[in-house]
Amino acid sequence: MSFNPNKTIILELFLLMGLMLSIGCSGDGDADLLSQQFQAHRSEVVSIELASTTEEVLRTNQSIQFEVYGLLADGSRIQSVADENGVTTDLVINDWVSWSVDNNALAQVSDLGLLTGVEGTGTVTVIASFVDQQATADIVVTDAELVEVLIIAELTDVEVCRNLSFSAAGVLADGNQVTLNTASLIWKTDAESAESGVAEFKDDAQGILSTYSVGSLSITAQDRLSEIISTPLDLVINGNLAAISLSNTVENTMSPGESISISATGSYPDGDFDITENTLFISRDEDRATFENNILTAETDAELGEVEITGSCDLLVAESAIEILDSSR
Amino acid sequence: MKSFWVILMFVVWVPASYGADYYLDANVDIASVEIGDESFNPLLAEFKFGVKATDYKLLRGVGLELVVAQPISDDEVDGFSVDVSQYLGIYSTFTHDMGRADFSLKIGYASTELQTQSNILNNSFSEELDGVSYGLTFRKKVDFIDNLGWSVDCSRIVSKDNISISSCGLGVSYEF
Repeated sequence: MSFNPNKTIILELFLLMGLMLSIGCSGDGDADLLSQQFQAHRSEVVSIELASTTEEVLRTNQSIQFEVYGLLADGSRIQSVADENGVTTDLVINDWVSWSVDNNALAQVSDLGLLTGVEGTGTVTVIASFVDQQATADIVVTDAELVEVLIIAELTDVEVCRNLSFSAAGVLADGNQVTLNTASLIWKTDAESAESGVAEFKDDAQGILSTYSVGSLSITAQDRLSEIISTPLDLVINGNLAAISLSNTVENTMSPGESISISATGSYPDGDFDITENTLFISRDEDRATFENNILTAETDAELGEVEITGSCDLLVAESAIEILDSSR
Repeated sequence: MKSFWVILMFVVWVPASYGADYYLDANVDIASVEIGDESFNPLLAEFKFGVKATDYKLLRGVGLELVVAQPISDDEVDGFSVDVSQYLGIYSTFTHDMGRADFSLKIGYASTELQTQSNILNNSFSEELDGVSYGLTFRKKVDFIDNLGWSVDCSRIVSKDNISISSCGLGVSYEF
């Protein structure tokens, strides 16, 4: 048998490629562990804890967001960098840790700790790993159908021109109760109050009710998937708003072409509250300056001088004036 | 491991039967270990054994190279030290011969062991990282000794999501 050197070299290269494909290209080793150790060294984090969650049951195709905090040697949580007011908060370190679950068929967890139910029923353990530390939480995953939607409200009355937040729970066919993501629901006011403008959900995927005038109404939450609607919840909008005042940060002056933000504050028996979101702002001279929500913009060729503006909510009106000045002076 | 020895056998046997050049390099490498946004620069002693075909028309300049490196010193930043405690590599090389100098590109597989130690947390870890590796080498023979030369070599040893190891080195080369 003759020996062909070219074929041998080609075979040699194929073997090398095979070796690279089988072990080299995939790569191995836990690079996360080393970078986590460096992160731990820098931050002096010695252990981690999973933030307590009210969720103990997760429906398939629904998600729960976990949060992990780093603990220092004295047991305190590592803090965020101070904001402009010098305030720090507990730092969420979801992106520092490695996330896993003990049963991927039941649920899967993202790199940032979002647990999503896949299928079936059972208990899944969520594991957050950081260097040689682990924090775990057990969650029941269920594919039981939703049979009832319940609105959860801390209050059933609200002062006019203020907002009220709601959440919702779902009762499942197996008897478990789960918190429903507000985005999975359609939030509505009753038809009459929607028409009269007493209050509204500006975003029907957010359970935040904005109120505009005194009265009563009822609200519902409907599950988008099953279309199950909650029992209506009756609410009262109280009329204790005493006055509205307008303010801005530019001492009531602006230049042609400039935009400024106007804020509205409502005075109530229990104190002053920002009601900017619920206030209707109007410029009395729209040829020179116009509002979009609470942002007043002067036309680039606006005539100099004062522009009167108003902010109103319920039956109260506040007036102010903004002077358009020549910016070149 | 079996594949490794099969390849090693071909490395030695094939060129020995047909025209080929062998070489031994000894380099001092400075490694760059990037962890997150920090860089560490431990030193390595790197030894290379290689062979390249010289007589095959089609594959002239093609060869294989084995690399073994041992640590000389670690590097420490703010009480955190990093050491490349081991580096093994096997590469396919592609050499352009320029008379008394040559220039090689290489690609292959490398396995490294990285040791880290935190003086603040008083813990240490060791982790083996491997994967595709690549690099380039320049060799130049000296005028007064025929087989002896010097070499400059740069390699990307490991590249992961948040860790990468590269090295550049200078050393002596002996061809036979």
